Amino acid sequence: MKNIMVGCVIALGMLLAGCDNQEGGVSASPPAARADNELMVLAGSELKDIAPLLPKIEAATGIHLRLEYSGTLEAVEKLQSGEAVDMAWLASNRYAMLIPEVKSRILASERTMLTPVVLGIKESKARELHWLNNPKVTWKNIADAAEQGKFTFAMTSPASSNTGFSGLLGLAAALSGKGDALEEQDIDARRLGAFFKAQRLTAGSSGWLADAYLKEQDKVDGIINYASTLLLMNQGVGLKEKLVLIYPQDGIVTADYPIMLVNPAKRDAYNKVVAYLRGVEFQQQMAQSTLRRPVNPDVQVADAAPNTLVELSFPAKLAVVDAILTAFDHHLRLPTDSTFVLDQSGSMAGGRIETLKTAMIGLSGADTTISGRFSRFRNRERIFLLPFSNEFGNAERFDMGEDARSNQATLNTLVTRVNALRANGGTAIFAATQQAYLDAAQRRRADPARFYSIVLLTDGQNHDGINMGQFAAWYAALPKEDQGIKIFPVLFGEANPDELRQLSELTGGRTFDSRKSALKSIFKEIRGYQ
Amino acid sequence: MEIKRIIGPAVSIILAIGIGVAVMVSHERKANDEAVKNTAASVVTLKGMIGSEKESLFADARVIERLRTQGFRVEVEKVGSREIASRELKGYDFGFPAGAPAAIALQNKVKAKQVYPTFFTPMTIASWRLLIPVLEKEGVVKKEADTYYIVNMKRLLEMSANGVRWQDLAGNTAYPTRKSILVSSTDVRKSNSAAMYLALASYVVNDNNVMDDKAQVTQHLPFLTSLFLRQGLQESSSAGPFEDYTTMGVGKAPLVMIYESQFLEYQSKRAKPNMDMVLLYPQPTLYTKHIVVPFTENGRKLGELLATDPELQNLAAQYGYRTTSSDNFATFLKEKHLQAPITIVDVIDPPSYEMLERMIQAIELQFQ
Repeated sequence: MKNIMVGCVIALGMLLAGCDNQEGGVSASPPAARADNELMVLAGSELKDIAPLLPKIEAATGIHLRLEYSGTLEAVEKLQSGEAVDMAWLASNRYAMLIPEVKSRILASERTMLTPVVLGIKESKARELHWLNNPKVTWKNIADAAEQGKFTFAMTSPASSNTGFSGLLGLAAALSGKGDALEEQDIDARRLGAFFKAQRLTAGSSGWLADAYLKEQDKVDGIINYASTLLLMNQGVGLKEKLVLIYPQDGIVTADYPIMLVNPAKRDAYNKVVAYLRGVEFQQQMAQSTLRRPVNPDVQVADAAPNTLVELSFPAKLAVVDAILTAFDHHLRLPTDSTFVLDQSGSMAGGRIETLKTAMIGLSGADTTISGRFSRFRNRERIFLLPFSNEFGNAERFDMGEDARSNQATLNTLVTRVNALRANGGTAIFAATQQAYLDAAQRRRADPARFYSIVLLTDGQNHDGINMGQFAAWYAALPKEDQGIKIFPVLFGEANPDELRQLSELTGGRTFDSRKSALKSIFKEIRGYQ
Repeated sequence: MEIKRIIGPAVSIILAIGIGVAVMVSHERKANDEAVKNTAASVVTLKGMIGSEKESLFADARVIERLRTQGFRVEVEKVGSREIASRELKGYDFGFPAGAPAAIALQNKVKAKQVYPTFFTPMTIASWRLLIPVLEKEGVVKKEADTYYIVNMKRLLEMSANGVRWQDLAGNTAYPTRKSILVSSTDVRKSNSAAMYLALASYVVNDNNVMDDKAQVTQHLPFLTSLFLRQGLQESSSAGPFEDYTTMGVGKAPLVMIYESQFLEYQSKRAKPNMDMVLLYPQPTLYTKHIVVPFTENGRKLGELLATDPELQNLAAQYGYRTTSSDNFATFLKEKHLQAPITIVDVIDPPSYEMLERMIQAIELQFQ
């Protein structure tokens, strides 16, 4: 009976229009009343896997949760800027709680489910490193192995995604050797830097990273992600080799998915939702479908995580967290090599080119929001600008160093160049991209210890030079070691989505659509992948 | 992940058959709601802010029913006890914080003539059976008549202050982690239970004297601050650390400062008490009093009722609280097969409100 009901509600959600008619027969409430039951929820992108359970939540509580997804820091920033939402539901609120303006907006917070951020590593590699069935592996051991070049891993960008953030914070705490909350002076930059030399894959979201790992599993030995995500990967069909989960003995950071009340007028609805989310029914179904652990002690767990997982303390000061994030971007991670292939054809004239300029200049330091600060061009980064129309010259190179003053001078020049962009002429999308790719591949041969990527922004159809088919053929003929520099096309205006999608799929990149969200936020989001 | 995508739609299509049934059910539910609304007409609705630890008490059907027969329907919001006084109080009838200091602050703010102490509970430290031998060996814990007492609180605090880690303790094979030995608590700025921890620690470090002058505060402040600062980010209300304890276990929370009532309530609701969990009673300890501070006449009536109604007093005991009559508490323990000392001999008073605030404000500065 219960199952039948639940199923109906799923169907209600899916066949919205059809069900509306049927319900009209028994319910006197006009359609407008339905909106009263809708709550806007700022949700971490990790919660997409809860979507199938939303109809059940609605059936049990009468409340329709409308989830608006975003990255963890981005969500914090939205709360900070006063964005009108009823609730927020994130993988973690630890960063949020350190920012006074955000903390004061959070009227109540209840955790809903648990999963730690851990290392998943190929079984053969785990055996080779004596980590198989070894509960004594520590972050120190992992860092040592990474430093000695014995294994490589994938991790998301700490400024964009909670797994990267938790992984970095956990690692920093563990390597500091302290048994309590981290202070700035405890950050062991040398060890951390050595560890991140072994990183081969980065991404702006945990889900995308898991997919990218599946595609590139021959090139990388392990992945830092949620235990639940890793367990799901093991259950799926995409892995050539099972992942062994390493729960480092010196400590982990657990995501606890707090749901938070923001709008005081919705407290009753919030209480209802919380009661259901923490109740046995939701907890059981959530545990089964997502493999996260329940917070309700009456629900049994199947997942056999070690029961004495040591949880690392989270810093109590924003300055400490910001120092770690900043150190990561500018000193610890592998440096970035990023090429921006920018359409300045005639159709970009007016608002479009101005939008593009604002987005680029935002990355140069003009954007002082939280997400802006952590998506700036980084120390040691190599930036290339390749503006194109029907013709294009050589990409202009900007070298960021370690020194703040000379970096500022470099960025000033970059801003001048960006401001000088003039829309004019035709569109040679693939020819320009080809040249950018060729240059990047050559640089990568000479200096492989960097993350290479190409951002392509265009608003139109390709009219000049080679076409997509020719690009694909050219790419396929490249030597294996020159393939795999990720291209991130940004759809703008009348750009051809199919062709650009092919381009990103070919190279393992990702397409972003500026018709769906602002170019400025897309550029910031892309930084998580660079 | 791939698999889920395929299964989702398939399942929902199969189950779509049930539409008619669910419509019927929701119709029935609507009728029930109407019935409830009608009887509620003669009842006044009150709104109050309460410490998180009392949320389940107010959600208990027996409590709701008893309050209803007395003419009250009570809506509560969880707020850190020490935070209530700083909130906008308009539209609320009462505050029900944990702890006399929070109640005094609130009383001063709203200028309430009278406040209503209802029930109380001692401060305790929740820990784990596997840690007991280690703590006994260190001379910190001693069992007397079925109760584990922290007989040397000073030593426990000193280990915290000196950065001793669990792995440093001799013969500790049960929990050889690098974690520092720290009692976890809530945010001392927001929550009563942390303030009570501070009150207790200040007494111990002040050679078993209640702190009563500025010089003593200045002398012991660095030590007391480190007990909180080293914990890192803390939760604003006492339900948080206790949830760390119950859901994340010994790895997150080996020692947690909680109310005895939280522990007893949790255990009493299990089909069988979790025997891995052990409650430690500091010697001395202090009581947290739960005091209703009324803002309106209805709030005052509710306070009076909660403090004097025998049935509500007995229901509070069902949630592990101690009341003026110890019979309620004793019966509750017996029925639920739980163990706790009926009388606690060694109980101290918290420092004066001003002294406690002085310490808290000084600690707060260190968090900036």
